[in-house]
Amino acid sequence: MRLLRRKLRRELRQQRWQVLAVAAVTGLGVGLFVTAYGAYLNLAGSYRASQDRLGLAAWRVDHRRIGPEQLRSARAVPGVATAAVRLVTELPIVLDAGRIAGAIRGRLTVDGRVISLPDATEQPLLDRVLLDAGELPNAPGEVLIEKHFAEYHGLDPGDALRVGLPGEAPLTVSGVGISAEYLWVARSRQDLMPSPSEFGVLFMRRAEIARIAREALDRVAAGADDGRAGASTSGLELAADLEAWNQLLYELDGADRDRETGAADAPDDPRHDAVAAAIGGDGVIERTARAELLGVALLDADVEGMRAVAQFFPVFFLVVGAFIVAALLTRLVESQRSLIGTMTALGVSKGQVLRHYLAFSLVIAALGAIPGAIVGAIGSAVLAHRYAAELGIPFVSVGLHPEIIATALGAAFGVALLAGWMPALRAARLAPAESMRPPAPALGRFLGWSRGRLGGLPLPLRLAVRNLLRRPLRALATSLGVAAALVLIVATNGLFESTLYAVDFQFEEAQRYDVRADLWLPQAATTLEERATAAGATEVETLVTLPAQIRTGETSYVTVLQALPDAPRLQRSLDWSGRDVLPTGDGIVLSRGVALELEVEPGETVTVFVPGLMRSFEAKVEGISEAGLGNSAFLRLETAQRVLGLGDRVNTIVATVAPDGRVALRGAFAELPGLAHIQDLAAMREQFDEWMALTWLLVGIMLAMAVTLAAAVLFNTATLSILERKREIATMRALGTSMRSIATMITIEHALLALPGIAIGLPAAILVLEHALGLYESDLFTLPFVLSPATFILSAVGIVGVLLLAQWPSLRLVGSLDLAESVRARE
Amino acid sequence: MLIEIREARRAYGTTVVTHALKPTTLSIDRGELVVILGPSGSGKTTLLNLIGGLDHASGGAVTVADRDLGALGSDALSTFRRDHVGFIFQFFNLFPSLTVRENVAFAAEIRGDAIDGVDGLIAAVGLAGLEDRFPAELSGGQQQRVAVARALAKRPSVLLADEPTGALDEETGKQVLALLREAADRGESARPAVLIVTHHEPVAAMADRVLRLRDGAIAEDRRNDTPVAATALTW
Repeated sequence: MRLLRRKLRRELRQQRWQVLAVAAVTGLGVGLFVTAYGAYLNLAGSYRASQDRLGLAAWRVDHRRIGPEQLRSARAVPGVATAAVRLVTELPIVLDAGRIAGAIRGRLTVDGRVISLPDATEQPLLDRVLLDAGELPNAPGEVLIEKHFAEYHGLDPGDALRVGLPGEAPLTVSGVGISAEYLWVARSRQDLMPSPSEFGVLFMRRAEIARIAREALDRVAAGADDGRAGASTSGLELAADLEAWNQLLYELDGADRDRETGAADAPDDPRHDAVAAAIGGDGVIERTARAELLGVALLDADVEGMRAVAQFFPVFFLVVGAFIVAALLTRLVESQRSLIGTMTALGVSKGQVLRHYLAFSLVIAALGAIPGAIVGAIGSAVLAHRYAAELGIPFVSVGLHPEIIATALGAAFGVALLAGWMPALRAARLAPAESMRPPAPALGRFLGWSRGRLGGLPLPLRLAVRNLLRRPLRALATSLGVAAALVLIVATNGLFESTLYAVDFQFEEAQRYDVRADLWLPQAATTLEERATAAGATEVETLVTLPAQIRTGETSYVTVLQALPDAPRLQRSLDWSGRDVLPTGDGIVLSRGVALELEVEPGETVTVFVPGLMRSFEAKVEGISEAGLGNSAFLRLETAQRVLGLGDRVNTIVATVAPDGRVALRGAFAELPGLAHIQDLAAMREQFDEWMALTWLLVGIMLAMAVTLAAAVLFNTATLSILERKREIATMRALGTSMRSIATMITIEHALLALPGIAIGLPAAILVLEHALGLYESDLFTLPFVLSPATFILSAVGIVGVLLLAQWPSLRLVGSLDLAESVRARE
Repeated sequence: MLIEIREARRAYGTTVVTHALKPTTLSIDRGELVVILGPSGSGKTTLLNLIGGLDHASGGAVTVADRDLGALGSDALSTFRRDHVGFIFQFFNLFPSLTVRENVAFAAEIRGDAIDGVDGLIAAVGLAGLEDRFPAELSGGQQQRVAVARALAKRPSVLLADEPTGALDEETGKQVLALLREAADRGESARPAVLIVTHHEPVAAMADRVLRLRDGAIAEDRRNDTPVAATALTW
């Protein structure tokens, strides 16, 4: 009916602010879902597209040595579609003007991971490199550098760098490339986010790697080794052999990858064993599926967080939106009783009445959901592009994802229908004669209970309490709305605080040094300390750091064994409160991630195997320490030196230095014989902060949404509770109650609604925060539970503040009411 | 005089102006029970609202209990209503969250006065034993009696009743009117003026004075020297 539609339009216009508030909540829910889920799909799709287009192999086998014959055998295995080999070796790279941290530049030795490109073809069959600038390396001494590394140091084609091996072979940058495996550059499971000032990936022709390795080995043989070949001599020998590789990449026939996970082929496919046998099963170190590659897994984990956001938070908004729609519509129906009676008396059918009032909630849902879906679709594309640009994803695949939009709209309309159903049904069921009479006043059970119980309270408080008891369900719903808003604000803040705490903990408490050097070969501690002090170090500590496998029963886990002095100051093992958790005697302390993986607790005994020294020993777990990023196992230095047969030698030095001495200290460390790598904490922090910038942006958006939700809930609560009692309030004014007293009473009432909301919200926020932190937890990432009282107090005060502001427009309206008319109104 | 109205008028609207009350002059003394009659739109409620300080005159002066209402601001008007005016509305306007006793004590509470004599008032309006009931537990007539008790509790100078029997049956209506008569007669120097707006003609028989309004002006102002008891009214 046209008239009913006109009535609907006018009513929506009359209550535009409440309607807009509900629409905003619905829109936020839909927008958040479409943005987050769409961005998740866009990013996951972009990752897959990049991996597929660059031919990232489905399977990789790390091997001690693969020769041409073994490659031929692998290719001959029935069911193997493609197989290729490559050499991956670690070579130090020297940059004369590398960026150290911030704007500091200087001579820099960086751990280079050099990956071979075939000599016979331009691009490898698998794991191809996308050129971002310049050309693939073809001439002698040419090297292609990975984009993150190039951007950080400002390297362009034509620039020079050197190999930090005896002879320091000069290299020329032929181009800058992107590798699907290194969209997220991780060095190892223990170093997930190395700074490009410490680690970079390079690509060279296999023959060039062999030439450089041979030259270095020749110098070592001639006694011209300046110590820099260190323990990597065996690696150099493999590199120098032109017909040797250490990785096999392959794909099986009929690979049909899962669009979302990228997983291909079953890991227990018998063809894998055939491939392993073909290349010499004894030499196999590890077989890794594409989805398990470190860089791929980290990208997946990162984007999974977005899916968690998409699945969790929008539900909040839709449920809260439903509560407000229900309250709004209930009030509308109550205020239009006689009108509804008139309509039905004039022949409007019950169905039409039902549809009319349902349309009210559906229109509100549409007002929020449609713009929300549009903004969400745009937001998902923008977010995916921004994220992809930040991570350097080469092939960004952004789609509209109609199924996501349909789900979001369906949920919004479904929730609106549910919310509107009861009030609309009540309207449709009103008999004309009944509805034209004022509603029979109902005495709620709770109001009856309060009889004679609240007499001692002052009038404003008594009235406020009784008003809440009159509509206990509404009061409960409002309190839940307040609680929901509080949960969102507190949990989002808590996530922020926990992350910040973990980062500060890692960089300011657990690792208090500025520069760290790890050596291939242990050396006398005093020698290292003297060299560091001479280079300007203000405080020095030496330790033993070695990769180790920790075993218990059938379970094992590879981590870094760190042996600390008895009272460590620069590299520490701590609990989240910053207290030392140190081994005593011959015991061992494990990071929580390691303990969880091994399912061991303090008091149990584990076996520690150090493959580099081929030594193993048993140690009793004495404590669990915390680490925000990565994990370790800690021993006493004296214990490690004894059980590993190191005497008084160490292989790691950590030092603090004045800011202007950093370059000199790094330079001195770079000259250390047998240097494995240098870690600069400022560079690492910078890298981490850069990565976190996008996270902070998302947290900020979540926080803004939470505040909007709180404001919308409270505005509608305040407005409805005032407007539906216009006559009552007008009567109070007519009887001489001042506006100040009325405002006080209403404020008390809203405060009473907020208090249970806050009381429910705090424990709920704690639970949600714990759940959210758990979503991010793995053996490599742990976030502490941090929620400062200030956050909670400020959030609670903020909620109350928003409530006071939200009631202001309605109070102003009440203040300007036409008393003469309002007191005569029939409610 | 308790109520002095001089050339008071009330108009609404700017483009289309409606003269709800044309310039009117009127005086009402303490203890007078005035019934204001007239058809819908005749201006009777407007007159009542001007006297009660619920509305302001567009021109002229309204003085009640020596206060020039036109000169009072919003807060002062609230105080004036609180201290001097008792209202009885057609739909009772009780506070649903307050019990009978609390509704009656409301005026005293907002004034910060000692709350005494409330139960006596409730008994006086015939509701003894119902003090702890909520409005939802009372009949319409009982609710209107509570409204009367609430209006009387503040010992007002002026008691204004707008269609007080409009929502009641005959018997209950008469009982409520009897209470208003009693209020006008109660006490000596502090007797309130009672003004009852109604379009129910028979009510005029109980008044001391009858005002009849038509088209926003007083068409008749007559004294009734032989008012009948409310219970004896022919309905």
